[in-house]
Amino acid sequence: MDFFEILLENHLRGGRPETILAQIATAYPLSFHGVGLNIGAASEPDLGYWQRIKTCFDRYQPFLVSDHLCWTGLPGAQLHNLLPLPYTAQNLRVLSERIQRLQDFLGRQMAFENVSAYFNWQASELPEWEFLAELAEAADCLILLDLNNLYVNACNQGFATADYLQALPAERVAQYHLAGYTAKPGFFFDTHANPVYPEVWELYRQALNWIGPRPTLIEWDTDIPPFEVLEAEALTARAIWQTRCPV
Amino acid sequence: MQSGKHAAPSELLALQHSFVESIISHSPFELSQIQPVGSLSATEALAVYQGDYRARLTEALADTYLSVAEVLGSDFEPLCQDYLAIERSQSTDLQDFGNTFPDFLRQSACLQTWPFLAELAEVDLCSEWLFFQHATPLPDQSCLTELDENADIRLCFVPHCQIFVSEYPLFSLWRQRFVSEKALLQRPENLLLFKNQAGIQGHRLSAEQTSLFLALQAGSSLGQVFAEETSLSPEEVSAFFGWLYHAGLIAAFALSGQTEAGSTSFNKKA
Repeated sequence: MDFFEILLENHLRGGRPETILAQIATAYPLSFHGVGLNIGAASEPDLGYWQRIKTCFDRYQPFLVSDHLCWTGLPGAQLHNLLPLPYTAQNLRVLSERIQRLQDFLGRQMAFENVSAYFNWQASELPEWEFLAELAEAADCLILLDLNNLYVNACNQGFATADYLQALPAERVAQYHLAGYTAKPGFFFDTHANPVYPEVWELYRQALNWIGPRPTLIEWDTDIPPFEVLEAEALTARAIWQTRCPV
Repeated sequence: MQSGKHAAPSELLALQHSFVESIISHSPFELSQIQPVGSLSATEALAVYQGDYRARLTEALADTYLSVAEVLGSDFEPLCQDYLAIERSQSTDLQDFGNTFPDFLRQSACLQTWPFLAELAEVDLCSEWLFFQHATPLPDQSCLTELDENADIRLCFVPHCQIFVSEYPLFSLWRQRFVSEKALLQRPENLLLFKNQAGIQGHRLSAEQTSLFLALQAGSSLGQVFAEETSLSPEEVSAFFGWLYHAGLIAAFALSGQTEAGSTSFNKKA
Protein backbone atom coordinates (compact mmCIF):
# COMPACT_ATOMS: atom_id res chain seq x y z
CA MET A 1 0.00 0.00 0.00
CA ASP A 2 1.59 3.26 -1.12
CA PHE A 3 -0.93 5.76 0.23
CA PHE A 4 -4.47 6.04 1.59
CA GLU A 5 -7.11 8.19 -0.03
CA ILE A 6 -10.04 9.13 2.18
CA LEU A 7 -13.44 10.53 1.30
CA LEU A 8 -13.11 13.85 3.05
CA GLU A 9 -16.72 14.25 4.23
CA ASN A 10 -16.51 10.99 6.19
CA HIS A 11 -13.77 12.44 8.36
CA LEU A 12 -14.98 15.94 9.20
CA ARG A 13 -17.21 14.98 12.12
CA GLY A 14 -14.92 13.24 14.57
CA GLY A 15 -15.62 9.94 16.29
CA ARG A 16 -14.47 6.59 14.99
CA PRO A 17 -13.61 7.71 11.43
CA GLU A 18 -11.28 10.38 12.81
CA THR A 19 -9.71 7.94 15.26
CA ILE A 20 -8.95 5.52 12.42
CA LEU A 21 -7.64 8.31 10.20
CA ALA A 22 -5.28 9.48 12.94
CA GLN A 23 -3.87 5.94 13.17
CA ILE A 24 -3.44 5.63 9.40
CA ALA A 25 -1.75 9.03 9.27
CA THR A 26 1.05 7.80 11.47
CA ALA A 27 2.10 5.19 8.89
CA TYR A 28 0.98 6.23 5.40
CA PRO A 29 0.84 9.29 3.15
CA LEU A 30 -2.69 10.62 2.79
CA SER A 31 -4.73 12.01 -0.07
CA PHE A 32 -8.05 13.74 0.75
CA HIS A 33 -10.83 13.60 -1.83
CA GLY A 34 -14.03 15.58 -1.32
CA VAL A 35 -17.47 15.65 -2.91
CA GLY A 36 -19.03 18.55 -1.02
CA LEU A 37 -17.12 21.63 -2.16
CA ASN A 38 -19.69 22.62 -4.79
CA ILE A 39 -17.16 24.93 -6.39
CA GLY A 40 -19.24 25.53 -9.51
CA ALA A 41 -22.50 26.62 -7.86
CA ALA A 42 -23.67 30.08 -8.82
CA SER A 43 -24.48 30.79 -5.17
CA GLU A 44 -22.10 32.04 -2.48
CA PRO A 45 -19.53 29.47 -1.32
CA ASP A 46 -20.11 27.70 1.99
CA LEU A 47 -17.33 29.32 4.04
CA GLY A 48 -18.11 27.07 7.00
CA TYR A 49 -17.22 24.07 4.83
CA TRP A 50 -14.04 25.83 3.67
CA GLN A 51 -13.02 26.31 7.29
CA ARG A 52 -13.76 22.67 8.21
CA ILE A 53 -11.67 21.28 5.38
CA LYS A 54 -8.83 23.72 6.10
CA THR A 55 -8.74 22.55 9.71
CA CYS A 56 -8.59 18.95 8.52
CA PHE A 57 -5.89 19.67 5.91
CA ASP A 58 -3.79 21.61 8.41
CA ARG A 59 -3.98 18.78 10.91
CA TYR A 60 -3.10 15.89 8.60
CA GLN A 61 -1.05 17.60 5.87
CA PRO A 62 -2.14 15.30 3.02
CA PHE A 63 0.11 15.24 -0.02
CA LEU A 64 -2.92 15.99 -2.22
CA VAL A 65 -6.37 17.47 -1.67
CA SER A 66 -9.02 17.31 -4.34
CA ASP A 67 -12.67 17.71 -5.24
CA HIS A 68 -14.57 17.87 -8.53
CA LEU A 69 -14.97 20.38 -11.34
CA CYS A 70 -18.72 20.56 -10.97
CA TRP A 71 -21.64 21.91 -8.99
CA THR A 72 -23.76 19.77 -6.68
CA GLY A 73 -26.75 21.94 -5.81
CA LEU A 74 -27.91 25.30 -4.51
CA PRO A 75 -28.55 26.48 -0.94
CA GLY A 76 -31.57 24.66 0.43
CA ALA A 77 -31.65 22.20 -2.44
CA GLN A 78 -28.62 19.97 -2.72
CA LEU A 79 -28.67 17.22 -5.36
CA HIS A 80 -25.56 15.36 -4.17
CA ASN A 81 -24.52 14.66 -7.71
CA LEU A 82 -21.49 15.83 -9.65
CA LEU A 83 -23.13 18.05 -12.24
CA PRO A 84 -21.42 19.53 -15.31
CA LEU A 85 -21.05 23.25 -15.82
CA PRO A 86 -21.63 25.22 -18.99
CA TYR A 87 -18.09 25.53 -20.31
CA THR A 88 -18.12 29.23 -21.18
CA ALA A 89 -15.40 31.86 -21.09
CA GLN A 90 -17.39 33.80 -18.49
CA ASN A 91 -17.77 30.78 -16.19
CA LEU A 92 -14.07 30.08 -16.64
CA ARG A 93 -13.19 33.54 -15.31
CA VAL A 94 -15.59 33.34 -12.38
CA LEU A 95 -14.56 29.81 -11.44
CA SER A 96 -10.89 30.65 -11.74
CA GLU A 97 -11.29 33.54 -9.33
CA ARG A 98 -13.19 31.40 -6.86
CA ILE A 99 -10.56 28.66 -6.92
CA GLN A 100 -7.79 31.22 -6.38
CA ARG A 101 -9.72 32.61 -3.42
CA LEU A 102 -10.17 29.10 -2.02
CA GLN A 103 -6.51 28.22 -2.48
CA ASP A 104 -5.45 31.48 -0.83
CA PHE A 105 -7.69 30.62 2.10
CA LEU A 106 -6.38 27.06 2.34
CA GLY A 107 -2.79 28.09 1.83
CA ARG A 108 -2.28 25.31 -0.70
CA GLN A 109 -3.27 24.10 -4.15
CA MET A 110 -6.23 21.84 -4.78
CA ALA A 111 -6.77 19.38 -7.61
CA PHE A 112 -10.06 19.26 -9.51
CA GLU A 113 -11.39 16.09 -11.09
CA ASN A 114 -13.15 15.80 -14.45
CA VAL A 115 -16.64 14.38 -13.94
CA SER A 116 -18.85 12.03 -15.95
CA ALA A 117 -21.86 13.75 -17.49
CA TYR A 118 -24.97 12.54 -19.28
CA PHE A 119 -25.65 15.83 -21.01
CA ASN A 120 -23.78 18.94 -22.05
CA TRP A 121 -25.11 22.46 -21.74
CA GLN A 122 -26.03 24.04 -25.06
CA ALA A 123 -24.48 27.22 -23.70
CA SER A 124 -21.00 25.64 -23.62
CA GLU A 125 -18.48 27.41 -25.81
CA LEU A 126 -15.42 25.27 -25.12
CA PRO A 127 -14.82 21.52 -25.09
CA GLU A 128 -14.41 20.12 -21.58
CA TRP A 129 -10.67 19.48 -21.97
CA GLU A 130 -10.01 23.03 -23.09
CA PHE A 131 -12.01 24.43 -20.19
CA LEU A 132 -10.17 22.19 -17.70
CA ALA A 133 -6.73 23.00 -19.15
CA GLU A 134 -7.35 26.76 -19.21
CA LEU A 135 -8.86 26.72 -15.74
CA ALA A 136 -5.85 24.91 -14.29
CA GLU A 137 -3.54 27.56 -15.73
CA ALA A 138 -5.71 30.55 -14.84
CA ALA A 139 -6.43 29.43 -11.28
CA ASP A 140 -3.01 27.86 -10.72
CA CYS A 141 -4.70 24.67 -9.54
CA LEU A 142 -4.04 20.98 -10.17
CA ILE A 143 -5.94 18.33 -12.09
CA LEU A 144 -7.09 14.96 -10.84
CA LEU A 145 -7.55 13.04 -14.07
CA ASP A 146 -10.20 10.34 -13.81
CA LEU A 147 -9.51 8.13 -16.80
CA ASN A 148 -12.75 6.21 -16.41
CA ASN A 149 -14.76 9.45 -16.50
CA LEU A 150 -12.75 10.58 -19.50
CA TYR A 151 -13.46 7.30 -21.32
CA VAL A 152 -17.17 7.31 -20.40
CA ASN A 153 -17.57 10.89 -21.64
CA ALA A 154 -15.57 10.21 -24.81
CA CYS A 155 -17.80 7.25 -25.67
CA ASN A 156 -21.02 8.96 -24.70
CA GLN A 157 -20.21 12.29 -26.33
CA GLY A 158 -18.17 11.04 -29.27
CA PHE A 159 -14.83 12.79 -28.83
CA ALA A 160 -11.32 11.36 -29.06
CA THR A 161 -9.57 10.54 -25.80
CA ALA A 162 -6.26 11.54 -27.36
CA ASP A 163 -7.51 15.09 -27.92
CA TYR A 164 -8.34 15.31 -24.24
CA LEU A 165 -5.06 13.85 -22.96
CA GLN A 166 -2.88 15.92 -25.23
CA ALA A 167 -4.67 19.16 -24.33
CA LEU A 168 -3.95 18.91 -20.61
CA PRO A 169 -0.90 20.63 -19.09
CA ALA A 170 1.00 17.54 -17.93
CA GLU A 171 2.73 19.33 -15.07
CA ARG A 172 -0.64 20.15 -13.51
CA VAL A 173 -1.97 16.56 -13.50
CA ALA A 174 -1.42 15.41 -9.93
CA GLN A 175 -3.21 12.07 -9.75
CA TYR A 176 -5.09 9.43 -11.76
CA HIS A 177 -8.33 7.73 -10.82
CA LEU A 178 -9.39 4.45 -12.40
CA ALA A 179 -12.77 2.72 -12.07
CA GLY A 180 -15.31 0.56 -13.86
CA TYR A 181 -18.47 1.88 -15.49
CA THR A 182 -21.73 0.07 -16.28
CA ALA A 183 -23.03 -0.25 -19.84
CA LYS A 184 -26.67 0.87 -19.93
CA PRO A 185 -28.94 0.89 -22.98
CA GLY A 186 -27.80 3.84 -25.05
CA PHE A 187 -24.97 5.08 -22.82
CA PHE A 188 -22.19 4.21 -20.36
CA PHE A 189 -23.01 4.96 -16.73
CA ASP A 190 -20.24 5.83 -14.27
CA THR A 191 -21.04 3.51 -11.37
CA HIS A 192 -17.67 2.55 -9.86
CA ALA A 193 -19.24 -0.90 -9.63
CA ASN A 194 -17.04 -2.97 -11.96
CA PRO A 195 -13.44 -3.86 -12.73
CA VAL A 196 -11.51 -1.37 -14.85
CA TYR A 197 -12.31 -2.07 -18.51
CA PRO A 198 -9.49 -2.97 -20.95
CA GLU A 199 -10.06 0.27 -22.87
CA VAL A 200 -9.50 2.27 -19.68
CA TRP A 201 -6.32 0.31 -18.90
CA GLU A 202 -5.15 1.23 -22.38
CA LEU A 203 -5.96 4.86 -21.66
CA TYR A 204 -3.91 4.58 -18.48
CA ARG A 205 -0.94 3.37 -20.56
CA GLN A 206 -1.35 6.34 -22.87
CA ALA A 207 -1.62 8.76 -19.94
CA LEU A 208 1.58 7.38 -18.44
CA ASN A 209 3.29 7.96 -21.79
CA TRP A 210 1.96 11.44 -22.51
CA ILE A 211 1.59 12.88 -19.04
CA GLY A 212 3.81 10.70 -16.92
CA PRO A 213 3.57 8.64 -13.75
CA ARG A 214 1.31 9.99 -11.01
CA PRO A 215 -0.19 8.49 -7.85
CA THR A 216 -2.99 6.20 -9.02
CA LEU A 217 -6.12 5.07 -7.24
CA ILE A 218 -8.71 2.42 -8.13
CA GLU A 219 -12.18 3.63 -7.11
CA TRP A 220 -14.79 0.98 -6.34
CA ASP A 221 -17.66 2.11 -4.15
CA THR A 222 -20.74 0.16 -5.28
CA ASP A 223 -21.10 -3.63 -5.20
CA ILE A 224 -17.71 -3.79 -3.52
CA PRO A 225 -15.98 -7.10 -4.32
CA PRO A 226 -13.82 -9.32 -2.09
CA PHE A 227 -10.54 -7.62 -1.22
CA GLU A 228 -8.57 -10.00 -3.49
CA VAL A 229 -10.44 -8.73 -6.54
CA LEU A 230 -9.67 -5.12 -5.68
CA GLU A 231 -6.09 -5.99 -4.89
CA ALA A 232 -5.71 -7.65 -8.30
CA GLU A 233 -6.87 -4.41 -9.92
CA ALA A 234 -4.28 -2.44 -7.97
CA LEU A 235 -1.57 -4.92 -8.94
CA THR A 236 -2.55 -4.56 -12.60
CA ALA A 237 -2.17 -0.77 -12.28
CA ARG A 238 1.21 -1.25 -10.63
CA ALA A 239 2.36 -3.65 -13.37
CA ILE A 240 1.37 -1.19 -16.11
CA TRP A 241 3.14 1.62 -14.26
CA GLN A 242 6.32 -0.46 -13.95
CA THR A 243 6.24 -1.45 -17.62
CA ARG A 244 5.77 2.12 -18.78
CA CYS A 245 7.87 3.83 -16.16
CA PRO A 246 10.67 1.44 -15.15
CA VAL A 247 12.72 2.60 -12.19
CA MET B 1 -19.90 32.06 -7.84
CA GLN B 2 -20.95 35.51 -6.76
CA SER B 3 -18.20 37.14 -4.74
CA GLY B 4 -15.28 39.15 -5.95
CA LYS B 5 -14.52 40.83 -9.24
CA HIS B 6 -16.38 38.32 -11.37
CA ALA B 7 -19.86 37.71 -9.97
CA ALA B 8 -21.50 34.60 -11.29
CA PRO B 9 -23.70 35.48 -14.23
CA SER B 10 -27.33 35.58 -13.26
CA GLU B 11 -28.11 33.30 -16.17
CA LEU B 12 -25.99 30.57 -14.58
CA LEU B 13 -27.96 30.88 -11.36
CA ALA B 14 -31.23 30.73 -13.29
CA LEU B 15 -29.99 27.69 -15.23
CA GLN B 16 -28.91 25.85 -12.08
CA HIS B 17 -32.10 26.76 -10.25
CA SER B 18 -34.23 25.51 -13.11
CA PHE B 19 -32.24 22.26 -13.28
CA VAL B 20 -32.50 21.68 -9.52
CA GLU B 21 -36.27 22.12 -9.60
CA SER B 22 -36.60 19.74 -12.54
CA ILE B 23 -34.71 17.08 -10.61
CA ILE B 24 -36.41 17.51 -7.25
CA SER B 25 -39.92 18.59 -8.19
CA HIS B 26 -40.00 17.46 -11.82
CA SER B 27 -40.82 21.07 -12.72
CA PRO B 28 -40.93 21.95 -16.42
CA PHE B 29 -37.43 22.35 -17.83
CA GLU B 30 -36.40 23.85 -21.14
CA LEU B 31 -34.97 20.71 -22.72
CA SER B 32 -33.31 22.62 -25.55
CA GLN B 33 -30.78 23.88 -22.97
CA ILE B 34 -29.10 20.48 -22.83
CA GLN B 35 -27.49 18.12 -25.30
CA PRO B 36 -27.97 14.55 -24.09
CA VAL B 37 -25.19 12.01 -24.61
CA GLY B 38 -25.17 8.61 -26.30
CA SER B 39 -28.56 7.71 -27.69
CA LEU B 40 -30.39 9.27 -24.73
CA SER B 41 -33.12 11.81 -25.30
CA ALA B 42 -33.03 14.98 -23.23
CA THR B 43 -35.88 13.63 -21.11
CA GLU B 44 -33.97 10.38 -20.55
CA ALA B 45 -30.82 12.29 -19.61
CA LEU B 46 -32.77 14.24 -17.01
CA ALA B 47 -34.29 10.97 -15.78
CA VAL B 48 -30.77 9.64 -15.11
CA TYR B 49 -30.20 12.49 -12.65
CA GLN B 50 -33.70 12.27 -11.19
CA GLY B 51 -33.17 8.57 -10.50
CA ASP B 52 -29.74 9.22 -9.04
CA TYR B 53 -31.16 11.87 -6.71
CA ARG B 54 -33.83 9.52 -5.36
CA ALA B 55 -31.35 6.66 -4.99
CA ARG B 56 -28.71 8.71 -3.15
CA LEU B 57 -31.10 10.25 -0.67
CA THR B 58 -32.92 6.96 -0.06
CA GLU B 59 -29.57 5.30 0.56
CA ALA B 60 -28.66 8.07 3.02
CA LEU B 61 -31.89 7.46 4.93
CA ALA B 62 -31.26 3.70 4.95
CA ASP B 63 -27.74 4.31 6.31
CA THR B 64 -29.05 6.42 9.19
CA TYR B 65 -32.27 4.54 9.93
CA LEU B 66 -30.92 1.00 9.83
CA SER B 67 -33.40 -0.44 12.32
CA VAL B 68 -36.38 1.27 10.74
CA ALA B 69 -35.32 0.03 7.30
CA GLU B 70 -34.98 -3.53 8.54
CA VAL B 71 -38.29 -3.49 10.35
CA LEU B 72 -40.12 -2.09 7.32
CA GLY B 73 -38.37 -4.20 4.67
CA SER B 74 -39.80 -3.45 1.24
CA ASP B 75 -42.13 -0.83 2.76
CA PHE B 76 -39.15 1.38 3.60
CA GLU B 77 -38.43 2.72 0.11
CA PRO B 78 -41.98 3.95 -0.67
CA LEU B 79 -41.97 5.72 2.67
CA CYS B 80 -38.67 7.40 1.76
CA GLN B 81 -40.16 8.59 -1.54
CA ASP B 82 -43.02 10.22 0.40
CA TYR B 83 -40.45 11.91 2.62
CA LEU B 84 -38.40 13.09 -0.38
CA ALA B 85 -41.53 14.67 -1.80
CA ILE B 86 -41.69 17.08 1.12
CA GLU B 87 -38.11 17.34 2.38
CA ARG B 88 -35.07 18.70 0.55
CA SER B 89 -31.44 18.21 1.38
CA GLN B 90 -30.18 21.48 2.84
CA SER B 91 -26.53 20.61 3.39
CA THR B 92 -23.78 19.71 0.94
CA ASP B 93 -22.96 16.88 3.35
CA LEU B 94 -25.30 13.99 2.58
CA GLN B 95 -24.93 12.70 6.13
CA ASP B 96 -26.93 15.69 7.35
CA PHE B 97 -29.99 14.63 5.38
CA GLY B 98 -33.00 13.11 7.14
CA ASN B 99 -32.86 14.61 10.64
CA THR B 100 -36.60 15.28 10.46
CA PHE B 101 -37.48 11.73 9.40
CA PRO B 102 -38.67 10.74 12.92
CA ASP B 103 -41.10 13.69 12.92
CA PHE B 104 -42.29 12.66 9.48
CA LEU B 105 -42.92 9.13 10.73
CA ARG B 106 -44.94 10.53 13.64
CA GLN B 107 -47.39 11.98 11.12
CA SER B 108 -47.33 8.95 8.84
CA ALA B 109 -50.08 6.38 8.42
CA CYS B 110 -47.46 3.67 8.92
CA LEU B 111 -47.61 4.43 12.63
CA GLN B 112 -50.90 2.56 12.74
CA THR B 113 -49.10 -0.64 11.73
CA TRP B 114 -45.80 0.11 13.49
CA PRO B 115 -46.66 2.33 16.46
CA PHE B 116 -43.07 2.41 17.73
CA LEU B 117 -41.52 3.46 14.43
CA ALA B 118 -40.89 7.15 15.18
CA GLU B 119 -39.25 6.30 18.51
CA LEU B 120 -37.10 3.66 16.86
CA ALA B 121 -36.05 6.24 14.27
CA GLU B 122 -34.95 8.56 17.11
CA VAL B 123 -32.77 5.74 18.45
CA ASP B 124 -31.23 5.19 15.02
CA LEU B 125 -30.54 8.91 14.67
CA CYS B 126 -28.94 9.03 18.10
CA SER B 127 -26.86 5.97 17.26
CA GLU B 128 -25.48 7.73 14.15
CA TRP B 129 -24.76 10.84 16.20
CA LEU B 130 -22.86 8.74 18.73
CA PHE B 131 -20.81 7.18 15.93
CA PHE B 132 -19.26 10.59 15.25
CA GLN B 133 -18.51 11.36 18.91
CA HIS B 134 -15.32 10.62 20.78
CA ALA B 135 -15.59 8.44 23.89
CA THR B 136 -14.61 10.08 27.18
CA PRO B 137 -11.86 8.46 29.27
CA LEU B 138 -12.82 7.10 32.70
CA PRO B 139 -12.18 9.49 35.60
CA ASP B 140 -9.78 8.54 38.35
CA GLN B 141 -11.26 5.56 40.22
CA SER B 142 -10.09 6.96 43.57
CA CYS B 143 -12.86 9.54 43.22
CA LEU B 144 -15.36 6.76 43.82
CA THR B 145 -14.44 6.72 47.49
CA GLU B 146 -15.72 10.30 47.75
CA LEU B 147 -19.19 9.04 46.97
CA ASP B 148 -19.39 7.50 50.42
CA GLU B 149 -17.96 10.53 52.15
CA ASN B 150 -19.72 13.53 50.68
CA ALA B 151 -23.47 13.74 50.23
CA ASP B 152 -23.15 17.02 48.30
CA ILE B 153 -21.30 15.41 45.46
CA ARG B 154 -22.87 15.37 41.99
CA LEU B 155 -22.17 13.03 39.11
CA CYS B 156 -21.31 14.64 35.80
CA PHE B 157 -22.27 12.28 33.02
CA VAL B 158 -20.51 12.04 29.70
CA PRO B 159 -22.31 14.09 27.03
CA HIS B 160 -22.61 11.09 24.76
CA CYS B 161 -25.58 9.40 26.36
CA GLN B 162 -29.32 9.55 25.86
CA ILE B 163 -32.25 7.88 27.59
CA PHE B 164 -35.29 6.78 25.62
CA VAL B 165 -38.38 6.14 27.73
CA SER B 166 -40.87 4.17 25.68
CA GLU B 167 -44.09 2.23 25.85
CA TYR B 168 -42.49 -0.25 23.45
CA PRO B 169 -39.54 -2.65 23.67
CA LEU B 170 -37.17 -0.24 21.93
CA PHE B 171 -34.00 -1.95 23.08
CA SER B 172 -35.07 -5.28 21.58
CA LEU B 173 -36.15 -3.62 18.36
CA TRP B 174 -32.95 -1.65 18.00
CA ARG B 175 -30.66 -4.50 19.00
CA GLN B 176 -32.42 -7.34 17.22
CA ARG B 177 -34.04 -5.44 14.37
CA PHE B 178 -36.77 -8.02 14.44
CA VAL B 179 -40.42 -7.48 15.09
CA SER B 180 -42.19 -10.32 16.83
CA GLU B 181 -45.84 -10.12 17.73
CA LYS B 182 -44.71 -9.51 21.27
CA ALA B 183 -42.83 -6.42 20.18
CA LEU B 184 -46.02 -4.91 18.90
CA LEU B 185 -47.57 -5.27 22.34
CA GLN B 186 -47.03 -2.37 24.60
CA ARG B 187 -44.19 -3.37 26.88
CA PRO B 188 -42.61 -0.29 28.46
CA GLU B 189 -38.86 -0.27 28.12
CA ASN B 190 -36.22 2.35 28.86
CA LEU B 191 -33.13 2.34 26.72
CA LEU B 192 -29.88 4.10 27.64
CA LEU B 193 -27.80 4.66 24.54
CA PHE B 194 -24.22 5.83 25.00
CA LYS B 195 -20.67 5.67 23.74
CA ASN B 196 -17.66 4.42 25.65
CA GLN B 197 -14.17 3.25 24.70
CA ALA B 198 -15.65 -0.02 23.34
CA GLY B 199 -18.05 1.77 20.99
CA ILE B 200 -21.79 2.44 20.92
CA GLN B 201 -23.64 0.66 23.72
CA GLY B 202 -27.30 0.10 24.55
CA HIS B 203 -28.52 -0.86 28.00
CA ARG B 204 -32.00 -1.55 29.32
CA LEU B 205 -32.81 0.38 32.53
CA SER B 206 -35.56 -0.29 35.03
CA ALA B 207 -38.04 2.46 35.78
CA GLU B 208 -36.30 3.12 39.11
CA GLN B 209 -32.85 3.28 37.54
CA THR B 210 -34.20 5.64 34.90
CA SER B 211 -35.63 7.99 37.53
CA LEU B 212 -32.38 7.93 39.44
CA PHE B 213 -30.31 8.56 36.32
CA LEU B 214 -32.51 11.44 35.18
CA ALA B 215 -32.42 13.04 38.64
CA LEU B 216 -28.63 12.84 38.74
CA GLN B 217 -28.36 14.07 35.17
CA ALA B 218 -30.56 17.05 36.11
CA GLY B 219 -28.03 17.99 38.80
CA SER B 220 -29.36 16.42 42.00
CA SER B 221 -26.66 15.61 44.50
CA LEU B 222 -26.22 12.09 45.84
CA GLY B 223 -27.68 13.19 49.15
CA GLN B 224 -30.78 14.52 47.42
CA VAL B 225 -31.44 11.39 45.42
CA PHE B 226 -31.00 9.18 48.48
CA ALA B 227 -33.39 11.36 50.43
CA GLU B 228 -36.01 12.01 47.80
CA GLU B 229 -35.57 10.43 44.43
CA THR B 230 -35.20 6.71 44.68
CA SER B 231 -37.03 3.71 45.95
CA LEU B 232 -33.95 1.56 45.36
CA SER B 233 -32.11 0.08 48.30
CA PRO B 234 -28.60 1.41 49.14
CA GLU B 235 -27.12 -1.82 47.77
CA GLU B 236 -29.02 -1.46 44.50
CA VAL B 237 -27.96 2.17 44.21
CA SER B 238 -24.36 1.22 44.92
CA ALA B 239 -24.46 -1.50 42.26
CA PHE B 240 -26.00 0.94 39.78
CA PHE B 241 -23.32 3.58 40.47
CA GLY B 242 -20.65 0.94 40.00
CA TRP B 243 -22.15 0.00 36.65
CA LEU B 244 -22.41 3.64 35.57
CA TYR B 245 -18.74 4.18 36.39
CA HIS B 246 -17.43 1.05 34.70
CA ALA B 247 -19.64 1.59 31.65
CA GLY B 248 -17.81 4.90 31.19
CA LEU B 249 -20.87 7.08 31.75
CA ILE B 250 -19.42 9.23 34.53
CA ALA B 251 -17.15 11.95 33.23
CA ALA B 252 -16.38 13.65 36.53
CA PHE B 253 -17.48 14.27 40.09
CA ALA B 254 -18.37 17.75 41.31
CA LEU B 255 -19.52 19.37 44.49
CA SER B 256 -22.92 21.03 44.39
CA GLY B 257 -22.55 24.51 43.04
CA GLN B 258 -19.56 23.65 40.84
CA THR B 259 -20.10 24.12 37.16
CA GLU B 260 -19.94 21.11 34.90
CA ALA B 261 -17.52 21.23 32.01
CA GLY B 262 -19.07 22.27 28.72
CA SER B 263 -20.63 19.45 26.79
CA THR B 264 -22.63 18.63 23.73
CA SER B 265 -25.69 16.46 23.75
CA PHE B 266 -27.91 14.67 21.27
CA ASN B 267 -30.13 17.22 19.63
CA LYS B 268 -29.43 16.95 15.94
CA LYS B 269 -32.47 18.96 14.99
CA ALA B 270 -31.00 21.94 16.83
